[in-house]
Amino acid sequence: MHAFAIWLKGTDLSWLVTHHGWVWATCEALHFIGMSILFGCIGALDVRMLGWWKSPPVAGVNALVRWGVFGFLINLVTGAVFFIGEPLQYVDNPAFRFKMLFLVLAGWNVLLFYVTGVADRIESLEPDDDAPISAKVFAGTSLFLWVGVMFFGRMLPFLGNSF
Amino acid sequence: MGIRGSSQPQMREPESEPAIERAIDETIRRYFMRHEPSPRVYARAISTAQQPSAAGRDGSTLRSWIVAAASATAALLLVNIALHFFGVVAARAASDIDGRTGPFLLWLSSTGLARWINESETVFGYSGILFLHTLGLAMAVGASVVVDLRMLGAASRISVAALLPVFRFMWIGFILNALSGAMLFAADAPRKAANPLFEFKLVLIAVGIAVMAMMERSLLKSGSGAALVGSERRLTNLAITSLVIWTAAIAAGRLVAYTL
Amino acid sequence: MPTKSPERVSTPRVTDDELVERTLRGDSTAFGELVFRHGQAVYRAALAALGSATDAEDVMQEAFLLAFRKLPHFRHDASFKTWLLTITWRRALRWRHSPARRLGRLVSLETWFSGDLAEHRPTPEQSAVSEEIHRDVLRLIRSLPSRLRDPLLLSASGRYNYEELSDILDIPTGTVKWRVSEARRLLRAKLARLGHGRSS
Repeated sequence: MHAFAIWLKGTDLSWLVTHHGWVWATCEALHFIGMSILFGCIGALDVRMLGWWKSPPVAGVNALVRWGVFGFLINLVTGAVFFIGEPLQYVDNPAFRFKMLFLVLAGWNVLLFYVTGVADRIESLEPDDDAPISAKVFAGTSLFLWVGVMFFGRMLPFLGNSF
Repeated sequence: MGIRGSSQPQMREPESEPAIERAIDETIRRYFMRHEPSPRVYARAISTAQQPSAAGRDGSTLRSWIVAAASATAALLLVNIALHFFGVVAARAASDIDGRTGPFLLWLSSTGLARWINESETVFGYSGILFLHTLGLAMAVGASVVVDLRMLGAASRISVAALLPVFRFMWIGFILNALSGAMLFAADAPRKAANPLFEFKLVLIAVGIAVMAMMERSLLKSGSGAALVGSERRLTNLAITSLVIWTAAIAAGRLVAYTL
Repeated sequence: MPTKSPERVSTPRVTDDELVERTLRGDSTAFGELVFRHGQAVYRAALAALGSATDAEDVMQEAFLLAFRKLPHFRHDASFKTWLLTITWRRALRWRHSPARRLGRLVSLETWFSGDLAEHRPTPEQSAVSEEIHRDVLRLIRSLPSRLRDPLLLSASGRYNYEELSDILDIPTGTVKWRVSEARRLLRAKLARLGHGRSS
């Protein structure tokens, strides 16, 4: 992995990213925007299932998830830009590893949510209906994991080395 | 009448004309029978007679004050920025060390709180407060994005009345960021204060909050949480403005770190 | 389906006009009675215009709110029901044409009239006519131009007579009848092309 990072650092693409100052700053701004969209939309669904916001039908909130995916894609792209630009800053960074771990776990959580059929069960909930316990578990885990991703993202300069 | 019922969807025989007419009527009738307004809607429609002019709810006075304070701050900061650019303050600033080091800001950065934030190695120090700041941002902007998306037509099965509780999350995020932001400012007061981009970010946030507060009041005022009356275009415009402002605020926030 | 109805004020047969008078004098329960009497008609009109249950509920509330505010200006030349439905219809049309809704139709992947009959279990009498034709009819209704679709849906919902429709839609009675029959003719032709019935 480390060798890959060194190789990546030597590529033209990597040089391009770091050479133009505006690239990094713009991607940072976009990364935060994508995070907000993602957290807002996915958080909305989680909060609905946890019962902290009961007024809409779940199907309505579900329609926001596609926008959450949109936010996630923005962050995937900008995150890739960061990694390409300064791979050595991330590859040995424990905060980065935890962030990726939490990200993968969040993905697992979503997958299980659909595969176990809980997603289908909550689809038809009307306003003020309570979600089943299984859905609440998924929702709580989702919130915890995404906040964790945010936390370790914030810790990157502090737990890492060469920022 | 020779009505053919078809149990196998594949096999179709042309139906007679009266049967077609009946099918059309039946389809429309079934469609209307499938949908009935819920008792909640009746209740709210009836209650419009009991509340002739809808009053805001309890928290709205506090929110109005917050909006007023934010607007006043924004106005002051705008004036300050203007003065920067028109060189009035430039001469004085040139003689300062490390930015604007007025007595208050020097004192602030020397307090125990500021030193602790800066020097603490634990997760509760600077990094932790920074994390809370990010979390508050995600909550405030995230909630705003949800409202704005709905106002622009996405997720239309969320009724407008159901949207009101989302504002609570926005306010929580804003307060969290105001507090964490104050602590972050205290830790680095002189340099932050001298940075016009930082002031610009605060202005943008004030405007963003004001726009969201306006949207919230619009939705509240429409009578016991009922739908929009005559203000769709205004709300659409506010939603677009809000998205633009939050994007700009985030961009300004990121750039502050680059121009320090 | 709603399981609990709000409490009704039981009244002997009082006319709409009298209820309007009472409301204007400050009797709020009178307005409630009007809501109960005409709520379903208002809702169905909104539903016919918009095709979405949530939007229809929103418009229903708006319509009653507007009617309440405009009540002092109600001249008793038309019936209260027609007046109320005209307000409802105009509001629904504004809703339909608003830029937010047009953008929403682009952004949202939901379809118009998406409450399809596939979920509705027919009784044995009802399944005498094929389910497939219902799906086709619904889809074809959706594809009709709105100036034909609106009169068709409103007249077939069973709650309004042609005179009321003429007032609500603001077109002559003859035109209403013509548009309804034209809509049915078009439907029959399109259905025939799909294999239902004989082509005329």
